[in-house]
Amino acid sequence: MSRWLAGPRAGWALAMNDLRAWLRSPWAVAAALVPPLGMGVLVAVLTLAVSKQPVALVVEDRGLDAERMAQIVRGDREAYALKDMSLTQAEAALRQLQVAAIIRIPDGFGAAAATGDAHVDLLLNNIDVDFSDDLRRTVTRSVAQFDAPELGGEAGVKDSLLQAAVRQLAHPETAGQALTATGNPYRVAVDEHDLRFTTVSFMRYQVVPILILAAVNIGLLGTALLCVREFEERTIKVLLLAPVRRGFLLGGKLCAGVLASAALLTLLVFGGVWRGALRPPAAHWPALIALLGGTAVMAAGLGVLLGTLVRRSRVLTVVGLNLATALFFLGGGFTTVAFLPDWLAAIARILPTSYAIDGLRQTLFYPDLRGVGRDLLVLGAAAIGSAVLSALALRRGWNGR
Amino acid sequence: MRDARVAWASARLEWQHLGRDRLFLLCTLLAVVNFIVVVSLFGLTGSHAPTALIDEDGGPYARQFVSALEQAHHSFRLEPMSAAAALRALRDGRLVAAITIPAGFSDGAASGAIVPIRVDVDNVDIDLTDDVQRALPSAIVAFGTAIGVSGVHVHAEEHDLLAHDTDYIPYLVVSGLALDALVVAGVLGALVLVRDFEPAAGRVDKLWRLAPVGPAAVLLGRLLAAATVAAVAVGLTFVVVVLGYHVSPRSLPQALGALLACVLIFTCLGGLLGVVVRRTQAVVPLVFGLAMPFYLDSGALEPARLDGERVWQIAHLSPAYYAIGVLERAFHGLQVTPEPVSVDLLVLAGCAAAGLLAAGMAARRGQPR
Repeated sequence: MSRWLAGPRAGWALAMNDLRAWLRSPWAVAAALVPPLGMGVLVAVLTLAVSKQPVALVVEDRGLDAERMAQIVRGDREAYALKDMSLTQAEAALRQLQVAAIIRIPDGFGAAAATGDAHVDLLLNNIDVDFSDDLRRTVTRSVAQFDAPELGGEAGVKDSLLQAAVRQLAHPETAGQALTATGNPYRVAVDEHDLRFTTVSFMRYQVVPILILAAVNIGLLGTALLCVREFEERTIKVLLLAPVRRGFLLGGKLCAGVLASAALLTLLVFGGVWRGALRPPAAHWPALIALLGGTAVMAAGLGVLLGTLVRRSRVLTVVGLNLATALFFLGGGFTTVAFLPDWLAAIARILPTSYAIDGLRQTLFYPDLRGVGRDLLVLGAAAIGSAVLSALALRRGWNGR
Repeated sequence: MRDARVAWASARLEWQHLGRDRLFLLCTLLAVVNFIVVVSLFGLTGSHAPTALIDEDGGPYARQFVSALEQAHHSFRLEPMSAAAALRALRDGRLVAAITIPAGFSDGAASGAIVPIRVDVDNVDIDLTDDVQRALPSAIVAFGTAIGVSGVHVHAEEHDLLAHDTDYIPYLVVSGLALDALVVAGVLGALVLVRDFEPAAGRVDKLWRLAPVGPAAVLLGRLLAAATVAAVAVGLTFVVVVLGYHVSPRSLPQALGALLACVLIFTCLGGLLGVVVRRTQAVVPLVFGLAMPFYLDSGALEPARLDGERVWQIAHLSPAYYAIGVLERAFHGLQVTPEPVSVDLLVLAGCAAAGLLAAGMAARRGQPR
């Protein structure tokens, strides 16, 4: 019986040894913790700013129409981080990049509005097209709300109905008629239906890349560097001469990487739940845990493969950087693979991280678990494939040294 | 003079080391190009949200409305499909929204009635959801203007500060160059020094104390060699950016100078990290991992200050913030930091000097072991 257990015991001892080596180095632990935590803090801060445009509002007309226009802009707190300023202050703020644009309601606005010829000036620091387009859309919507309040979303519809109610009070002969939002001269209204009850916040959406970054960073790069150490310090010869099957040695290495990644991911998941950034439906927890486990095994498996194939830390570093970059970015770390051009999406589909990211998003943000089984299967296959290839690579080491 | 000779000899030795390792050099070149390519992917999904178009009307006003949607500030990538296919794709996360133009749209619009269009939105990503919600009124206003509606009292009048918008991918690849330099020069700077502290290399650092010169000379030579390789790698990326992405710098000397400065600075900072951390196992994940938050908070996607004062204040901790300020100026003539370029350059030079000094001190601290 003890003979049967010798292999697993050796593998476990190897795993514990690697883990201890990892834990003994405070910098290695810092390398695992600092990047995801740094990114978490940054995302938390960015959540306050995302999709809000810093804008200066300059109101030069004192009439009621100008005030109404200004209230429309001020009321859109989701779109603008607004500051009321004088024109001089606003221009200085624009130069200092404190604001991206100036919305100016010029003198004479009210009189011009009466004749249908009023304009709102948008002075835009059009640094890049993405940012500039965001502002163009937002300001066009605000201006359109002046004539068609319902174009401002739910708040706009309420505003429109309120105006209708006021009109009805002013004209009692219309009492009893249904209140309808009128006055949309553009002839088109938007009837929006959202797929989910509340929009997923930026913070919650960015939890997925943080988890993947942690897995790639420690699971892949960390495990690969732990493996390569055996080759550089020549301890691999001793390991291979041990009366243990090679599979157990690889298993031990894989186990160390998985345990380190799993420990880090567990910590991040607890942190995410505590801060309210991670809130999957209750029934999705098993799938989430399975996906995170699968991701850790996949990343560590690729790490073992990389370490046994490359064998030199210097080369491993740059090969690892190539792989980690592709796995993170092309896998969908900061993008959505389904939105990429078809040819690029097809390349991304080769990468196991794209399945991990897809699965995590499905588990966290969608009502069902469609496709998660496939994602788990791919992650498992990538891990097994890596382990088999690592065994073959190790055979090369045995024969070659 | 003796120190200079030692530094030169140290650099030559490191060049020979690196020169012998062709696979390493090849992978380094591949890494920088790979990095810039994948970083630019963000630009492909930042606009043109994939949106299903279900046109149940097909009349002239519907076509006019589709045209307005297509021209709504790069907002939609319209994909005509059936309602069932759209709903399926939306639920699978393959679309941001589905717009249905109902039957009778043209007749309704022609008669002056208000026609509602149904818009189903997958509000999973607040950024894209907001884009769609804000772009639709833009398209509706453009449609109204095109068909000549009456009763509009106010128009928006745009005045741009710059002659033209810089496209998003050209903006991203330039900031990508700074991050490229950060990752590659940082890793190389760390690697050439960390080796001497590792047991596998026989802890050569112990020998440093026997040398008749201070460790700073050896360190300087090593970093010079690392910076040369990083400069070649970043130079290759520069060629890719110019020829592949067709992004030419407004001022070639300024762009090359800025890139070279980035390489030198990040090599020094990498060297500092190498001497402090002393383990490849820790230093590589640390540089790669830190590059991601630096990427988000350095003005890589848009000027950092426009993300809010707090983000902007944190950005000052990242050397990439200053580097992007210099590079965006050199390539596109854009001012993306409120600080002048000269201040950005000064801070970068200060970072390099501080990094070099601190690395020398850290190496000296390690000597008595």
